[in-house]
Amino acid sequence: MSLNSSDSSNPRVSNDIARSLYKQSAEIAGKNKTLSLLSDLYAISIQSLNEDELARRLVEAILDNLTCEIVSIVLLDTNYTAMTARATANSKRLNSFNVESQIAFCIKNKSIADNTLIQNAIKTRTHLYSENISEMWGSILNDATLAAIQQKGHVRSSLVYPLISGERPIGVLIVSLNRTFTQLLEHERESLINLTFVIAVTLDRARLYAELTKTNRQLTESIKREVEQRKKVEQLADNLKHANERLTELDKMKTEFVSIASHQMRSPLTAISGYSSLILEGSYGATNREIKEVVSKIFRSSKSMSVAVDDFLNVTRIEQGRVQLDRENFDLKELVQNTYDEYMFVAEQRGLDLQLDIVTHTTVSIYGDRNKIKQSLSNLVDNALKYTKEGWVRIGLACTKECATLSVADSGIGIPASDQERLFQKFTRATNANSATVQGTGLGLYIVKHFVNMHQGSIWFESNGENGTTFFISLPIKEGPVCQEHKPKVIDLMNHPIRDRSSDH
Amino acid sequence: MDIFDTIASRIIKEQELIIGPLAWEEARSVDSLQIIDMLSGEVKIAVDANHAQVIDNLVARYVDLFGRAARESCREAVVALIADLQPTDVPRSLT
Repeated sequence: MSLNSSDSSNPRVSNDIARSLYKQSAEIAGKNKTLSLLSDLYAISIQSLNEDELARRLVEAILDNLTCEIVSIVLLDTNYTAMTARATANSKRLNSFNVESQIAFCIKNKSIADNTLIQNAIKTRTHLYSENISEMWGSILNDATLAAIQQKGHVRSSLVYPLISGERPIGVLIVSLNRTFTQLLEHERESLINLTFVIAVTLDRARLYAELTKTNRQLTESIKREVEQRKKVEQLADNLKHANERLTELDKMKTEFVSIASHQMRSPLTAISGYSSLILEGSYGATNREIKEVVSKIFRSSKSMSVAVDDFLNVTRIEQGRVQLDRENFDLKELVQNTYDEYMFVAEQRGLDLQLDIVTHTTVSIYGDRNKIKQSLSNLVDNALKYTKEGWVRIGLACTKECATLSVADSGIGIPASDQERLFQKFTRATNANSATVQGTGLGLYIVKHFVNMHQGSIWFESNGENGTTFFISLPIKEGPVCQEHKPKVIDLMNHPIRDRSSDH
Repeated sequence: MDIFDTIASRIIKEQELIIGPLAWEEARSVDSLQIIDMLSGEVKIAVDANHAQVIDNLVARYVDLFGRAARESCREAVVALIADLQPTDVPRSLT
């Protein structure tokens, strides 16, 4: 239906109404354009979270809607020292001038201080306007392009709007037009102001998303590495466990082998020492001196080997947990006396003074395995005699109400401080033991310590490292709690050697 | 479309936003102006016609109906386009 001014029913009123309606409609249309542009920008903002893609779509939308010549979004880096032109769009007639690439290149390679319009817009946080094309693009575009955009693009003015997100400037929107600011329509001015908010929030959100994605990726990689590390550790732990099981098995096999081998050697050794002993005694007739000497060596060697085999067997029994104590009540004082008597001859043969120091008048009743205590004391005396080239060896016994303490002191080579921690370990001999040219398996003290511990006793030694050592074994008088390391009151025995006083009683 | 065709199309589309399909009806009434496709907004001014005059006639149709406000809205719709024209080429109704 068309409105006609020749309408007879009050045409003037109709015209006035029509024009009034038109004006209102035109105003609404103008607002709609602003809203329509904002709606388009909002639609763009939710389509992607990629900063570059968003920037490109935004500049293209603004270029088309507001009929601009150049639209560029320039963003600050997080340090606020450098800028990058994230997207630039230009009108078709400027396509041949590489405006976009020039802007991108020049802004990237120049500091923010080179363009005062941009710098001031960010600093003042207000939009700025210039009709001077050099003021806007002079520091960014080359002269030829500058002239071209002015002539071909008819650029007459430029606007710089700061992009603010949450009180923080993130960059600028640059719009170059073929008309002046005053020639902009009202809805165009409104649109420009409103759309800067949308652009700022959209791009800031995209940037945050990118940072979040990067952080998330780093976290994921970190977690992945940790999981892999953990798997490796678990695998290593598993390998270690298997290796340990295998080692335990091998150790057990070794112990069994040593036990079997030692048993196998025992019988022949017994035969060798037995028959050589008979020969020496003359059971097979008289022998000349040379043969006696040879047979003596055979006898001594077989004895020495028997001791080593016994040591190996004892160690295997200890490791297999097969050592049992044959407990009985016995007089420790008598045992010490017997040991002294046994070793007297050996000491004389070596030219050593064997002494006895029993500081007690009464019997010393011990509830334990007599043979093992005897073996332990004999081991200490044997060591003392082996490692003392000249001087003396003293066997001692002292008592309190709770403990009896055996001691074997010598004036021998001493034990270096560096060996004192490990001397009771298997196959361990003092470092100076080899220099003393003394044979040994390194098992004796290990066995002695085990026997003493089984009696809830303790063993320790004192040595200044150069000459002289004293070993102590402390045993409970009656079967009871573990007897702590107890050092009997010592009269300066090192400088005042004391002879056997037990015969005085 | 040449620049005047584009100007005519822009004016009609702007009027369509305000008065609806009536804008296209009025445009059809303008001599030497051919409506090729309403949906895309493609129009064609006759080659042998005075392009500026045809634009003036188009604007006059809307002014007759809705007064000066219509002229203002026509001019605002094409301000970006006429900025590229030489002053002597700008239709009088749009100055």
